[in-house]
Amino acid sequence: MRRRLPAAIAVIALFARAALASEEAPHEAGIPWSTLLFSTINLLIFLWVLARYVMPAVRDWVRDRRLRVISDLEAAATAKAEALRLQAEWEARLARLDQTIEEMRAQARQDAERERERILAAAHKTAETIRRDAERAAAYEVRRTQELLRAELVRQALRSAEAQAHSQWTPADQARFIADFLKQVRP
Amino acid sequence: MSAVARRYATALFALAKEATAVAPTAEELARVATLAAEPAISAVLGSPLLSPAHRLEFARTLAGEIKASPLLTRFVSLLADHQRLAELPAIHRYFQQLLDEDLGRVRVTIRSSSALSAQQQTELVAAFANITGKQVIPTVVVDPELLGGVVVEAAGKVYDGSVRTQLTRLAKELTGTASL
Repeated sequence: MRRRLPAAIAVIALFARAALASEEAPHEAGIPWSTLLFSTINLLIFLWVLARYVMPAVRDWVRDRRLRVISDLEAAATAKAEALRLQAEWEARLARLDQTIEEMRAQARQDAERERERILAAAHKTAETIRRDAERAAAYEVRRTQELLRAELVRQALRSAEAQAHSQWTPADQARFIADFLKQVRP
Repeated sequence: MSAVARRYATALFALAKEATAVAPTAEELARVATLAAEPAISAVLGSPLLSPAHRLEFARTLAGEIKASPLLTRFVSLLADHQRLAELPAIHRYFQQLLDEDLGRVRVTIRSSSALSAQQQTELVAAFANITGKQVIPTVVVDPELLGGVVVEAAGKVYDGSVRTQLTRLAKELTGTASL
């Protein structure tokens, strides 16, 4: 394009010199052929310049614009399809909402029942442990009390026996004890 | 009884036996030990304020008081020199044991809840003479705390036939390990 530009400028300058020369000639009546020719050439040059340098850019811009519009349209179509899909999905969900709510309620009831059973089982286990511990503690207390009671009874019996021995011990008892003692120690 | 008292008693017994004066020495030792056991005298014997010279003089006075033999006088002086006069009662007890062993005797303590009749004492002495195989020298002690029966201590052993011990044993059997 750059090589053709000086040639075009030279052609324009040639025609301009011819037009000026015709301007300097005395006006004659009738059609001004030279002016018409010059204007025509100017118009053609203008049209050529437009076609050569402006139209490609305009075409590119239009093509880009068209492609962008097409892309936007496709994106809009995709978005619309997505929106329609979501709409359909949500409509379906809404249609199933009661069922879903019922399912969630049933699940919640099952979970609550399981939790209740778990808590009850744990409570039963704890209660059983407490009961066993209480039984053991009670048995221990009973045994301890029995032992204390037995010890107290024996202590009292011992005191009574001592008192009786003090008051009722006779020389015959002593003689009998010594005789028994001698029997035991004799080899 | 301390080992020191045993050593001194053994040494004195050997010397007395060598001098064939065991019985007189035992008698003198008993008397000097009785004197040394007197509270007033034992306080002086154990006093650290007494000088060695005074302690020796005091020991000789003690021996002179009972008219002790030269052997016992020297022995008491040695104890004073070694600051062992306070051991006299223990030395006497062990000397007595050595004498009893040498003569084939054993001392037996009979504790009874009431006074023993002569026949009961004789039977007990005979029984323990038979058990120990030695001549028994009895010491009878009346102890009402026994409630009934007798307890005999002979040759380091205790033979318990008292009502008190039988009642305590019975109570322990009834209560298991419970303390009374």
